[in-house]
Amino acid sequence: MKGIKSRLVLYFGMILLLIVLLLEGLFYWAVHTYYFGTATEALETRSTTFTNFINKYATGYRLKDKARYILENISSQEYAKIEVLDLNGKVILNSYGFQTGELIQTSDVTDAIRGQKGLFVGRSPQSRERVIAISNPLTFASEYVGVLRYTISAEPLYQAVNRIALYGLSVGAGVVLLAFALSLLMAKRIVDPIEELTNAAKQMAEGNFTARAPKRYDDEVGTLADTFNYMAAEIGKNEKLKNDFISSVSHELRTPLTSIKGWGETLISGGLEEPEETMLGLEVISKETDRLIGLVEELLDFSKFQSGEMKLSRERMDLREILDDMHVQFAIRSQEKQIDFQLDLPASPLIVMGDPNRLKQVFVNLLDNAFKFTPKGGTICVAATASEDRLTVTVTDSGEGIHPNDLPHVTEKFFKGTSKLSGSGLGLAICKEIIQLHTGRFLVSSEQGRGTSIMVDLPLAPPLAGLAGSASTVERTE
Amino acid sequence: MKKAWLLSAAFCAALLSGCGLTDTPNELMRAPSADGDQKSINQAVMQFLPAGSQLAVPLHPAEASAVSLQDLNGDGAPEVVAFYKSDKTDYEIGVLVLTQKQGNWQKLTSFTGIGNELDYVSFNDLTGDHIPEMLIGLGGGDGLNKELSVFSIADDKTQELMKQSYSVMAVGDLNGDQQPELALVMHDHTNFTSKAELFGAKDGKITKLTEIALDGYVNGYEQAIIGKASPTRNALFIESGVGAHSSATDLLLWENGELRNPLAKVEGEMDLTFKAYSLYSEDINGDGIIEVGTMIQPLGTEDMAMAEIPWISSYFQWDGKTGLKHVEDHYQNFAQGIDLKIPDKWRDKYSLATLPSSNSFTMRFFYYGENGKNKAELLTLQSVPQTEWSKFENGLKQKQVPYVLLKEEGKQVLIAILPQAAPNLGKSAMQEYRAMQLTADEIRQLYKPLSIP
Repeated sequence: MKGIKSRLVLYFGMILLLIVLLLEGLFYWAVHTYYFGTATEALETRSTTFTNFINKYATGYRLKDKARYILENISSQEYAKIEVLDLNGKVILNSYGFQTGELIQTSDVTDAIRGQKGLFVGRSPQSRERVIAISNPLTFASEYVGVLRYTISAEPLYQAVNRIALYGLSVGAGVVLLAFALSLLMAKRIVDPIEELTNAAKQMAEGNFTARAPKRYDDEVGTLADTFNYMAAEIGKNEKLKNDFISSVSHELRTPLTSIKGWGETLISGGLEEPEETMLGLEVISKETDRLIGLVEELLDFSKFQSGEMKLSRERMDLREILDDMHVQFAIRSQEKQIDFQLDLPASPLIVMGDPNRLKQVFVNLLDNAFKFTPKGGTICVAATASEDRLTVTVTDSGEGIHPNDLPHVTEKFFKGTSKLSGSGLGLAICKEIIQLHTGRFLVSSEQGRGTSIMVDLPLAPPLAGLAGSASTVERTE
Repeated sequence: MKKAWLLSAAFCAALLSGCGLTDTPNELMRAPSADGDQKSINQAVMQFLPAGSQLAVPLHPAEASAVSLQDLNGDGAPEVVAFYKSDKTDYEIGVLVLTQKQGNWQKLTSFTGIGNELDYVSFNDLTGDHIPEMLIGLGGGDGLNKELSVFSIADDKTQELMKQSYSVMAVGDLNGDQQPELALVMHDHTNFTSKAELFGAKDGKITKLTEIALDGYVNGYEQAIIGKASPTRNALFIESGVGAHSSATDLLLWENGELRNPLAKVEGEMDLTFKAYSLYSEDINGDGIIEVGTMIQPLGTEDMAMAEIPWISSYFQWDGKTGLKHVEDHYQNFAQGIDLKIPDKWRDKYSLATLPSSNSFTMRFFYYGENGKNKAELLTLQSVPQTEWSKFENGLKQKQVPYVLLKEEGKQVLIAILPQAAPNLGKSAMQEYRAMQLTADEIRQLYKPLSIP
């Protein structure tokens, strides 16, 4: 699986491998430099000192005499091989007492023949053994007469360096392995919550909204899990709301349909013989049909809001007219329920840019609610006030009020509270949407047992400069 | 100091890895193992040497060494022969012979001889049994006589076959029997007698084959070699010192069981081989035949003091009768390490002189026509200190002086400068001069470095 885990392990491992290799290289270089540098330095010191000594005190002008002198003066502890070479690179004598006569032409010898100190690190051309050789010129009077060459084997040094490098390499390998294990562990800690989240999401997708993603750590993934759980809770809530809505709407739809059906059957069986009864039945059928229509209208409105298709046809209007209409429209209902219905309007017009039908719908709804929840003998008051650029309409009733727990939810869709009264639960939600479309505010305040007060706050239309101005404005807006 | 962190890094690594550092670099320094044989032989020799002894290197011949491998008992496996000097006495030279038994070197025999220098060591079959004997010449020091001993090894025992004093000696096939003979030259200072003796194999024993009396009034003998005197004949060449600094060469041939000097000796005249300074016989032209050197004086130096004359070494071969024939001439300078062969076309028409104005070595070779009336530069050898060379070279290049670089290495750079302008000479002299001029390639071929023997 090309998952985060494998990628993480791979990247992490690669970075560490790179670092370890780099450090290993550096380490090898350091050890190599130390070993070879020290050995070369030691050899060089010995060789140069001895050469200076020979050049100073081995007075024989013949190379062979010098060679003899050198052989006789070599320390018995000398570990290097010492050779005396003539200017052709031929070995006159080595420290083992042999005159091999072999020709040596490595760079150190050619340097020494030219009078410089020569250093050679590499494979001996004869034996293919890796050696370190240092050659110094032997002088007589003003001329170079031969070469004194010190040679040691570089193989033990290489062995030592390689052994140490191998130690280093095994440590490096251990580090890399450890890093792999650690990165696996780390990847597991990162990936596991994600996998659990994925599983939870899968369950949710399958419809199990009670599934919850466990929050392991307080990190990004933890926050995601929280958000996810929140989302699941919301979806669950919506799901419940939807189910509630369907059951309540079905119920709402069934009640009028039942009475329509009942009356219809009564009328059929009665054979329309009793005109009074027939009349009553038809009235009920008509009223119930109105209720159904209202219900369906609300649902339609709601679906318009949902899909964002709700359009206002705004015009310059006086809100007082609508409120007056309301007063007239609910006058009969207030008399029937013996509710004191008051209207308190200012003398000056309340001009707003609004959709009269929609605003009327809002107030009908609000007043309908008020009448619904206000008991006999109660008071309902509609008051409008205008400030500089806003107007406020307050609908206050002395009804049963709203439970504080329900108060934040009353404007939510399908929220019906604990009331047993009929309704789709969409009324206030739609009202709020409409007012918000008018760039107004919709506030509900309530005190249980004392009554509810709903405040609608709308912006006042800017005053017109004159009729001509208004006409031109209209023209322009068109 | 700068390596301190390297050390600490290495140390830390060693600690981290859980293993102690095995060895410090200095402990790891070993001689190359490729010469394991030589090394083990050396160790074996050192083990058997008396405490405080040191290896001794023979003076002659040049290729002899302190330790050598030689099958001395004819068993097919080489024995190790080592020479040493003990620190107890300066007048004793030791010989140690080791043989290989079951892979280990074991002492076969050892003995000492009286002497303070190891003059000569070689391994030759003088008895004719195809097993080489040890020829060991011990000396008492400069100018003193030496003594040669010949040893053979049989049944793990050394046997001294002969013992004889000598001044100089040579080993080689003189009588053409493909067997080496031993020539000893002895000079008796007190009685003013000298003789050369020849030893060879006869019936499996070393026998004196012949002897010849030589001039007893020489200062001493310096070198003897056996080599070809002609393509078919071998001879013994003996160098003797005569007079203040002069020398002469005796050429001895094997004829009818005797030694004979074929060169004519005219009463009252110098020997043919006489030379003002010593010059040893050698095969100078690489044709396999030994040339006898003499010294000749360059033209026009008759008035100069002996020491100031730039002598020319002139080499001759035996002509097969009573005389010598000229082979070639060389300008040889040991101090400068120069050997310039004189081209044949220069012969009798050139001379040479140092340039007095210069403080470094300069030797000018010039055309010398009509007894010195016509002179023109042919070639100038000049050595320049290495430190001044690049400056000098720039100067040459700026002045567009034609030169040949003969030796770049060493403390002195040697160049040959060719003449730049045409000399002012008469027509015939000019023709002669033109014919003698050398090209750069010719100069390079004529030059060779001369090393101190």
